[in-house]
Amino acid sequence: MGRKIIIEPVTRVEGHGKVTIHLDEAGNVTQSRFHIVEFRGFERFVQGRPYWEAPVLVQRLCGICPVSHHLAAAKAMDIIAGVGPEGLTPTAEKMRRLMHYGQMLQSHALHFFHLASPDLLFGADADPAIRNVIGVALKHKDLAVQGVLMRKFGQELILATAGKKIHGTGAVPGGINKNLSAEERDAFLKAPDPLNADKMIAWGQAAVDFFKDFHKKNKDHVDGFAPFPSNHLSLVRKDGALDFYHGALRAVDAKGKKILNDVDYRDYLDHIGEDVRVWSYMKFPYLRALGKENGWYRVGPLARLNVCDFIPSPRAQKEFEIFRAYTKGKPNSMTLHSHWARLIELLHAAEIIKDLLLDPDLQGTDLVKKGRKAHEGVGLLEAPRGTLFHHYRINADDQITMANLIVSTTNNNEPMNRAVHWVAMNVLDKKKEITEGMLNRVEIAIRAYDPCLSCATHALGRMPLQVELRDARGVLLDRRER
Amino acid sequence: MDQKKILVFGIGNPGRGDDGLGPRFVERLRGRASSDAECHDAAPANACDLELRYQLNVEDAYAIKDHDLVVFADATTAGEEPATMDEVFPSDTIAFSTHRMSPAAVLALCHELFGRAPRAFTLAIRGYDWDVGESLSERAESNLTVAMERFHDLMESLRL
Repeated sequence: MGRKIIIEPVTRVEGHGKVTIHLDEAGNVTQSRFHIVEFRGFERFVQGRPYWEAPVLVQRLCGICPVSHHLAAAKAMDIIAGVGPEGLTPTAEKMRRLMHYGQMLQSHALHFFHLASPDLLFGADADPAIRNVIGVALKHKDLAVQGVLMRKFGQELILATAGKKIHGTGAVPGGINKNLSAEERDAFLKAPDPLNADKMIAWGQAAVDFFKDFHKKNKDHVDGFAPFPSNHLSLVRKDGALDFYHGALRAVDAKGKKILNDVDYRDYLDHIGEDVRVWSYMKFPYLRALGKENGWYRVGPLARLNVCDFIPSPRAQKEFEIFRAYTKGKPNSMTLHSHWARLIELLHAAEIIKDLLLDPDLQGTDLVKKGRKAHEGVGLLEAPRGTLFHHYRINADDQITMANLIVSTTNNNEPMNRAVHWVAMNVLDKKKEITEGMLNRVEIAIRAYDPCLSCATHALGRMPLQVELRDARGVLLDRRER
Repeated sequence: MDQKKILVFGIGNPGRGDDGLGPRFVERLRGRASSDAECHDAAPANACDLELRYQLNVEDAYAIKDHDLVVFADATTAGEEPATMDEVFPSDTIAFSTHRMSPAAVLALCHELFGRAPRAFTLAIRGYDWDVGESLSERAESNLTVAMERFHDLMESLRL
């Protein structure tokens, strides 16, 4: 009889997910799915609340990436407050950028050093007892220490810009509610090693060099693991530069041809649709120009480096040129190269953080602008995991009447399914015995996308954990619960 | 008496009902420390570093490294009512998600990276309602009051 293999939960990603692989009687993979079984309805919760509460309210969504939601909501509320997406004061925009780039630094550091590096350093077949951050600490202490301290540096930047570590209130509709004092600035610029901006740049460079060295020694595995062509979507600056905070929407296909040519993201509904499937509460966004079947796309570090024309900081730009040259200028479709791209972004974030800290605009006192109120606002930015969409409407009483959120991980829903399917077809197909290493390869494929499943379905994070084994007719063969 | 360095974490999302028990605990400590009428009771709180977290993560191994005593205050979904204070030790068998790190894992990472780990306790406060919202349930509020007593008892027993 056919078998269904289920991996639940996916370890070392935020939130929980379930993977189902269905084998027929001969052991051939007939179907594989990565699906979420909880539904939260956060968008309905915010309805009726005053619009100015949105940037703080949305942080309840997820404790892993609250800053992304805070800033995306603030950008949407800027429009409602009558301040266009590019109408903030220099101090306000740069404070938000510092908050955002600080978040990118710490999020990317966490993901690589403590989520992905155990697999890369020990291999997919290593004992699970060491294939984790403690194992990294035991064998590669310097890497583990750097990861911890980069996290701390980024978190302190968030505190200095958002005002609080939890439910920060830094960004308000039309601006920001604090600047960065000279004393706060110097704490990041002039602190003794290692918690200063220069050390973060040095470690960012070291992280990229580490990966390139690892890649050289493990080329077949890194290049050959779950490659599949796709479209790619990201924001880009007006001049085509990589920009995490603001830009126009661009999408390219697997050959690099533009599908969306730098469109205003406020018109995203004209270009992005959301499909639903009966077996998952997570939606499947797609480019309308290509339809539901072919319009799915990747977001996140790999997509961003495939979409942008250049990176506006010197060390990261140099690494970007090496990255692009590897695929002769064409989009990179190799799943594990997401880690390479992520580390180049980590380096870029560190460089931009130093540039911002040196900018006297951060000590400016003109913090908020006001304009003629609008009743609809859209805010997009590039969160660590990919493009994040926030869209709100309000009524005459300033209450939110509609909220639509497309979070980064939802944008990567189909790519994650494709990656799981690749592993199912290439690693599990026709195997008589299913090993821990095989199952871990499925998780490696998912972890490359750094999914935050807590956001993607807005789940409460307390979903029951079930593993079910069913035959081809759906008859339950075995069940485990946690 | 040597002044001990004490760190108290309040862990949880204050936007998720009783998941805010940890942060609320720290807020009460903070409030108690600023009250002249309770300065005697507040002595341990005055000596405490107080931190809020959505969840523990790897950088907390750095945060605890120079402290003598750490208390991790967090809501529990199924623990004993109303609240329990238990000593926690570095764990050497790890299989955790970095969506959140356990106190034991943070202690283990601290030990591996920095050569020592402080004495530590978890203060598990029973919660009941996890829906999106900023209020604690009535029972959770009551448990929080007991949690304050458990903390006070710990400080007394350790002569702090």
